[in-house]
Amino acid sequence: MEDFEFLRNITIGQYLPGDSIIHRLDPRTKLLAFLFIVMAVTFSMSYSANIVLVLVTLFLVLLSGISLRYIFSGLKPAVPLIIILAVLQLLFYGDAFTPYGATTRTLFKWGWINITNGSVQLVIVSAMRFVELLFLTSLLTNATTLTGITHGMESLMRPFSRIGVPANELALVMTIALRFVPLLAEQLEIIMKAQASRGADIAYKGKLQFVTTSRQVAVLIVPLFIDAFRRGEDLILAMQARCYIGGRGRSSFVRLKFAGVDYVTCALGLLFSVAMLVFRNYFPF
Amino acid sequence: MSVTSVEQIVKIQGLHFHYNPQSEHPIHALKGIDLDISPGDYLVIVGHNGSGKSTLAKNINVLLRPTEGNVWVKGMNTRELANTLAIRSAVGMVFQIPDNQIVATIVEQDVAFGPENLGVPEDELRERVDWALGVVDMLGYRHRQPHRLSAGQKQRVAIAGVMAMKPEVLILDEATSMLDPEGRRDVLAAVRKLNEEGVTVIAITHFMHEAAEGNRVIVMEGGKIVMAGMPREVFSHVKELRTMQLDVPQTTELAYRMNQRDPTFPPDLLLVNEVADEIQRRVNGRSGT
Amino acid sequence: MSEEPFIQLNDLHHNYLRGTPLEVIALRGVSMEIYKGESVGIIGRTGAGKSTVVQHFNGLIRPREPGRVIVDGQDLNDPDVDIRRIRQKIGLVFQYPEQQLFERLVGDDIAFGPKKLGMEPADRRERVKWAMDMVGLDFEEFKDRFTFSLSGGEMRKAALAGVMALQPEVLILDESTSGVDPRSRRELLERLSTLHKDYGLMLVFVSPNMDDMAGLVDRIYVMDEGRVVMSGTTRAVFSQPEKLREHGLGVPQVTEVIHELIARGIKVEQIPVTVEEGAEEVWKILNS
Repeated sequence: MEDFEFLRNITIGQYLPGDSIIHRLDPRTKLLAFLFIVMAVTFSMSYSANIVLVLVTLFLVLLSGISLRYIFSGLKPAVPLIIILAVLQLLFYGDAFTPYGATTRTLFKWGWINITNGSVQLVIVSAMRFVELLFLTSLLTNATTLTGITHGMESLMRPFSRIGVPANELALVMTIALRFVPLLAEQLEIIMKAQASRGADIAYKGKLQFVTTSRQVAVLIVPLFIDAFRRGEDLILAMQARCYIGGRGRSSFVRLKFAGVDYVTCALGLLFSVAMLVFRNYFPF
Repeated sequence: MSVTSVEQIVKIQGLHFHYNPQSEHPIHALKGIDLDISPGDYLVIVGHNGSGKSTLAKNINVLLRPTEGNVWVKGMNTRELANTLAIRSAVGMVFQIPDNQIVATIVEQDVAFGPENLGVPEDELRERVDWALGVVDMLGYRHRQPHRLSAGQKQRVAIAGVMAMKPEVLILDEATSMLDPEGRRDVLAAVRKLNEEGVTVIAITHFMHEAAEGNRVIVMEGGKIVMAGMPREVFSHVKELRTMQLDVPQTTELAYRMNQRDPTFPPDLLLVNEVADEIQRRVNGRSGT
Repeated sequence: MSEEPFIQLNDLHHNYLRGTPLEVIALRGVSMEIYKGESVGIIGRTGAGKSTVVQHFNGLIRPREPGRVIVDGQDLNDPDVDIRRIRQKIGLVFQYPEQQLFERLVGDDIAFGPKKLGMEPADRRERVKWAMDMVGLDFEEFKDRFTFSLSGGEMRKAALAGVMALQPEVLILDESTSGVDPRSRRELLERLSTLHKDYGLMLVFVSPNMDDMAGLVDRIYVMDEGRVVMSGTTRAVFSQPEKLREHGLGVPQVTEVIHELIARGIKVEQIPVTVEEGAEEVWKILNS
């Protein structure tokens, strides 16, 4: 069956309204906490550290009130990738990694294939880390509006505008991208339907398996690009008509303010991350 | 050049415009336009695609500058670069495709875009946004995503976004052509309200029955103004309009056809009620009721 | 009108983004029939579900139980149905030509459909010429033009030709007059009328504008909120302006005038749908 609905299984980027503690945090807090925890994930290679991280992640998801089922469903598109990675690591990375609190023990060796308890740990830990990153990213965007993220990032970047970082312009670029990506996705869907109606071979299995020859790509890409450029032209006129002349001198409608809970959360996030980093070698297994 | 009298909020003299003037085949889109617009006018410009109506509008808010002739807005000449921002904040423009003029992902943030660009101080921003949304009756939608609005609602948000800059002139460049009847109704109602509050409106449309909204109509063809006057006057020239392959509102066409058969029937009727009144009058008169 | 409908839609239900928090109900049990030789209109405000219905006609959306779509005797729920053949019989033209045109040259783009049907180059050329004649695009003049250098009206004709090149039995137009200037619109409607009357092409015309329907379609389905809320001959539907207004639609001004007269107690013989009919009717009233 042809399936034309693209956005169904992608949980990243999909805002789900709610009133939890997490929802109400300042977006900057969430961005910073996200960065801190991701740093911790990067440095954690032991089973126990990752168990801690998985628990922390699940705890945050529960706090946010977002259905666990929904977040788990975001794994579906990634499963093939995880499996391929896991198999490669299991079979070929035996010597790359020394397991915590133990010595490398070869489990199976044959030619290139070298399975050790190290590679087993690598596989499991990698899978856990992938899941943590996916859940955290998903959670960040599920509990924060993309506009919030944009304004948060702009605010965090603003101190750097003195050294030439165009914070305001970048934020506007991101806002416009967020605004038009769903529109272009819809347009792509219509284009696919129009061409399918003329007999083109489109999407008989899976969502993105319609690209086999460059001819077939042109059928979809040309109208899509033309549409994107037309929209761009119109938007430029509209922005000029509304007196846009660049980031300098613009005031800001959205004002972000830190509350007590934001300071606490940032501090906790930083402490947690530093602790995981400093004590990473003290984890038992 | 002579200083324009303050009476006219927009004054256009001898305006010519060429697209690609340096190329081998420049397109002579406007061939000598003279036009005066007074504050509070509701001017409707009708004409075919290619008649130059959109080009004319863009010369008023300095998206384009004349290749010959002059355009003054509130006494400021559009040729002078220094006047650009002042003119663009005095003359707002709403475009045809609702989606392609909305920049932000939340309604109220998009409405704030214009004033933000003008550097309006933060406390005043909130006031302006609320006022503008109120004027177009979209205040309840301020936290919504534009993506989820109907086309008519999006256009009203676009109008709010323009009005938040507090312009004195509002140009609508075929702003209703992509809307369904309901959407069109809502947008026209909002514009009518703004005009009643003193905003000068320039509406470009190809819908004849919308031309009835204005107090002045000009018909453009081939880069020139070919007819001008009050809606009634202009529409009663059914034959000329027909040769130009422009529609007249069905009501006027009906009156015209009746007039062809009975010269005492007024040919310049515009509204449904007027036509019904005239017919009823005759029916009653005949039966002596 | 023959006994069995050429296209039968039974009890269609459809949701977008099913199973996600953003689920939207598009169709709540829609049934329609299109008989051979007919010209039918589907009208409704934005969001009424018209496009969703129309995408069931050629299998872009498959019906969900208990819904059924039967086209020329073939059930679209049958997994063995040849969907390509259905899409040759049922041509669907989308709202904007830019959503369909992609080839550099006009002739090539119109030939896309025939190519996918497996036609030989010589036959293809004939078919393209035929299709361009049908829509009023001069073959010699336009076949080697750059697609994207055409005017809006010409692009619309090219897109229509691209679908006509399949030689469908039914032509469905989804809001093809949106944003179109009056002259081009009239040309398009006249062209469609000719294709229907002179070539027997069945039409399904979707629009939110009542003005388009008059003189083009025999029957109208009115939709609102995912349901068919009114149906009948064009004249019958036009006779209920209050109900139409409730559903966010209007009637042509000339019909409004007549309704106004009826409301004022004046006897009217027939509800007009075009200005010509209106003028006749009013003349009769003034001279009875």
